[in-house]
Amino acid sequence: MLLLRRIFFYLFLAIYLIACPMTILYALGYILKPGTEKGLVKTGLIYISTVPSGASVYIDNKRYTRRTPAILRDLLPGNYPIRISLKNYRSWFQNIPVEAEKATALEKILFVPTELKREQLSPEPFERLIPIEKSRYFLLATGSRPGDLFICDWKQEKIRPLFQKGDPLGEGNVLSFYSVPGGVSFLLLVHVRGGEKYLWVEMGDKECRVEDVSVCFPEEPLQVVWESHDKNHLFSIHDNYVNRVDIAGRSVVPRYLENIRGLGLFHKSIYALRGDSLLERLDYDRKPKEMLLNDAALGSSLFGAKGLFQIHVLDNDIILFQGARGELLANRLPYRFLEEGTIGYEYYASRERALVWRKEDIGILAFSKPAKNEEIFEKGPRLHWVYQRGQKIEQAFWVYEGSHILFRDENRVSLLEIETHGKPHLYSLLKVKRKTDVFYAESTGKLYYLDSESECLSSVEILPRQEILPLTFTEKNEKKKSEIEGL
Amino acid sequence: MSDDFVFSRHNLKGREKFLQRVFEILPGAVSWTILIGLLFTAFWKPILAAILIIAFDFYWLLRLFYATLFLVLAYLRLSFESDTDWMKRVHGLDDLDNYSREVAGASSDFSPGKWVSMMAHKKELQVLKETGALPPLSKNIYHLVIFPVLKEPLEILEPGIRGLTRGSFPSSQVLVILAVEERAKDQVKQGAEAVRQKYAGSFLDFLVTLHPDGIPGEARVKGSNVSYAAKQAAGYFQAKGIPFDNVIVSCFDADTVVRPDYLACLTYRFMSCSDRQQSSFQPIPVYHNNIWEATGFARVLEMGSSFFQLVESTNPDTLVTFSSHSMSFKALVDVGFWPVDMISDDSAIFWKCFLHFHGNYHVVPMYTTISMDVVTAKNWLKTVRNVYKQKRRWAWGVENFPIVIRGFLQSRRISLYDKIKHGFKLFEGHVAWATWAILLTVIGWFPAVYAGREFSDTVVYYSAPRITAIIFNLATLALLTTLVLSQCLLPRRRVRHIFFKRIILALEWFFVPFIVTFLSALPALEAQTRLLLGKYMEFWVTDKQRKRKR
Repeated sequence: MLLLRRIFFYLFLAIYLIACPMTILYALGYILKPGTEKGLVKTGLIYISTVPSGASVYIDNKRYTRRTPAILRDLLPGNYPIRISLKNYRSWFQNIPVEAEKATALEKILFVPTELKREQLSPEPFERLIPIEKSRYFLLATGSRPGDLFICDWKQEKIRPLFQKGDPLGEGNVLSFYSVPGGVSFLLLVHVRGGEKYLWVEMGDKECRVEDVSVCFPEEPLQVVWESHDKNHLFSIHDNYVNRVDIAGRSVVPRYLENIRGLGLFHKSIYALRGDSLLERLDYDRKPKEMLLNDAALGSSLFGAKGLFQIHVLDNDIILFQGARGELLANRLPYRFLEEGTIGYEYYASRERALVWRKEDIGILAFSKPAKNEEIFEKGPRLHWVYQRGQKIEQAFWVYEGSHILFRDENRVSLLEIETHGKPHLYSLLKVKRKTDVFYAESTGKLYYLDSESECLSSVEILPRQEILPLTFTEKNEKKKSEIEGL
Repeated sequence: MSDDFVFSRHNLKGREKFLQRVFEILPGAVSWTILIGLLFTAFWKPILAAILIIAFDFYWLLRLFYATLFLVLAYLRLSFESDTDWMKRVHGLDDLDNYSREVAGASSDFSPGKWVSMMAHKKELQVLKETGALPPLSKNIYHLVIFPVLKEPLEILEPGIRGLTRGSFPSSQVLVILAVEERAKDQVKQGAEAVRQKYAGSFLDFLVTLHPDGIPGEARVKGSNVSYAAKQAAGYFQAKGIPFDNVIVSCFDADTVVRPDYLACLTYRFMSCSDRQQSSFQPIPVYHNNIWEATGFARVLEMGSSFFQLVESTNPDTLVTFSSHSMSFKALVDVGFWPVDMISDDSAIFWKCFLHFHGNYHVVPMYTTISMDVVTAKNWLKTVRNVYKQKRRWAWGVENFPIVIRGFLQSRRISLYDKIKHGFKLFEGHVAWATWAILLTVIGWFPAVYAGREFSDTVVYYSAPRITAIIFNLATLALLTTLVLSQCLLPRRRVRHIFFKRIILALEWFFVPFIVTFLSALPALEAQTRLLLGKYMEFWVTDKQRKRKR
């Protein structure tokens, strides 16, 4: 037995000494190439994952044996024309660079069907769709009265009227609509005979609760902010001061904060931009917690002498300021990102980047910290324009974990693929009713809109959720090379 | 080595104390360095980490195949020897010349298994004749069997004693001692006495010794109890005029049940071993006493221990005694009995002898089994705790490392080759025990899971999981082999729902990566960390429970 052990020991040792270095070299991308360039050569690879999966991959018009998701290995450095096609979907084509020992990842290729799968959700037409950001509901309106409002639970795809027929609260004309992201409640300012009234609406699974809270709003506010699910602490922002409103207690504390140019809420803290352009964090009882901007000269150079700002606290340490003229500022160098024209933004928390759009442009503002470099001038985030051919862009959404942008330009909805190695792919998807919003829910991958012809509520599947394969650990990393350079 | 080398960590001074501490720190420090080092490498140099992990996985795969190959061979040898008539061979050795001729002329119409057994037997006879180290006659050979008792009740003790009476070796040449701790409960003492009274007439003699607590220089460990009993036995043999050269001592756990042929096989191994006075004899431990009552993970772990010993049995060059084993009583007396201040007395006695006899001490593998209890408790959680504690106690065998290395440094008569061979195996064995499973199941995946952009852009990021998957798939072959062998090794008792129980046992093997990580590697790492920090362990007796037979 001892002899046998020795024989096998040396045999296994020899196997290890030969095979292990070969395996490691292979893992690093080296292959033994026959022919004129024979010898050890460095290679790279391309990783392709598509939604839906199962697409055919062509390199130089030669079909690769495996369908997506696929890894194309042993590729010598160079550019490879890659075409990916799937029946009933538009083909995808691009020249993909391959570097030695490197992997080029095309992880989030989203196929667009040649014929979109549209579904009509309501038989009757609507005048307007009013989205509530990050909420499970959006509103539909057939007219201007509160009684013309309908609530759509898009998870269940059920529509119900906000008011029963004949409900006196449903009378009047809706003047303003106030909501907060992720909320299940909203505030309506309604013009009725003899004045104005404020209606507080709480949406539930089965029924909605509507209350007249006019007593809480003695004056018309410029903005109303609150943290979703907290109806005891609403703040109505007026010219130069803020009232505190307790909806449940039907009470208002007038001029709760004075000399204020903007107010945001985050985790039970008030972020107040004061009249002297300093930024302060307070608790709900007005007790100061922290001076976030203590430099009056810097403050006035950033925010100017006057004007109201919307304050959006995106994360513990990222704050966006949107001015009345559409200025866009953040508490990150170089602070001022847009001088005017900002229409909206959408923040993608896990990738620390915000989608920002103006009338004609869509840009990405990446807050993730760049790798340290040798330059002595600190570089902050930059607004990188990814689309600049818009007519009247009014809405934009992140799609498929931030790899695509869905936007509405007037009445046209388009999809822009941004994680690409060449020119971003732009797919024109459909036309929707003019002068009203659309709603996109990433969790279902569906876009809800009013059809341009029938004006009925319809949906179309943008991201087939059931087709997204469970991610393997190789796919989990979000920071991929294939992001647009510079982001 | 000076003859006054004391196999202990206590009462050291100066350089010895310093060296002891350094070598106590070394295994734990290396294990932690490997784990933390690879963890940091995975974060800071993920490509390097991925390469190291591939190299390690590949190494592990070959080691696994190597071990599986010899596991199969050892199992075959064990099954080939299962029908061997050891007493016939023992009697043959009493008349070596005639017997050798008889064996040489025996017809060869044997099965392959019998052929292998006979070939090995012939070779042993040949070596014995060549060395001229003729054994004493079997009728003059005596066995001393010691069962240490602390809290084991009657029902745990009795099967082992009963098993000895059923053997083919004459029990009139067997002295049994129940080595009871004085601090044991009265109920335990009464149980031991009841067993003695019941079986006293079946053996040469049956003693119950009471080991007093608090003897200076002793720790509350099993070694001090069995040493006390062995000293009593020495007096007994002296009084009876039985030379120590003719006595084989077996130190069993209280729950050990031997096969009927155990003492006959042991006698044969003792007689056929030319260096019998400087040898230990290691059977294959199996854990069958309560295997169908035990919890799945405990069963898998104990089977793993059996397989480990089977593999080790194929390499007598570096075999070390483990758990229940036997040895020359003369050697035991010569080295001053078992260490009385160490928990790992089973392996420590080998190293003590190895150092005492200047490297001229060996362990002879015995292809027969002894059965013990799988650790179990009243509920699942307590079983986990007990298994963990038992494995930590086994892993505390690392306490031998500093003493053995100090012994090697002092010894001038042990060859450098032997020092390196044994020292490295002892060290590598413990470090591998504490690190491999954690590397394979946890840290090995870190580079991919926490890959940064720098790493996720590389070919190796995509290749490493593929290579690892291939390696793990190949490793499944070893697992399947183990699974089949585990079924073959099971006792052939009649048990209700045996088919389903066997299926469940087979499926339990697929949890082996988690079981080994949490109930083998972690306790080993804790044991090494304790030694590193100087937080020495006390002896802890594992709970053993069996359902009472109705």
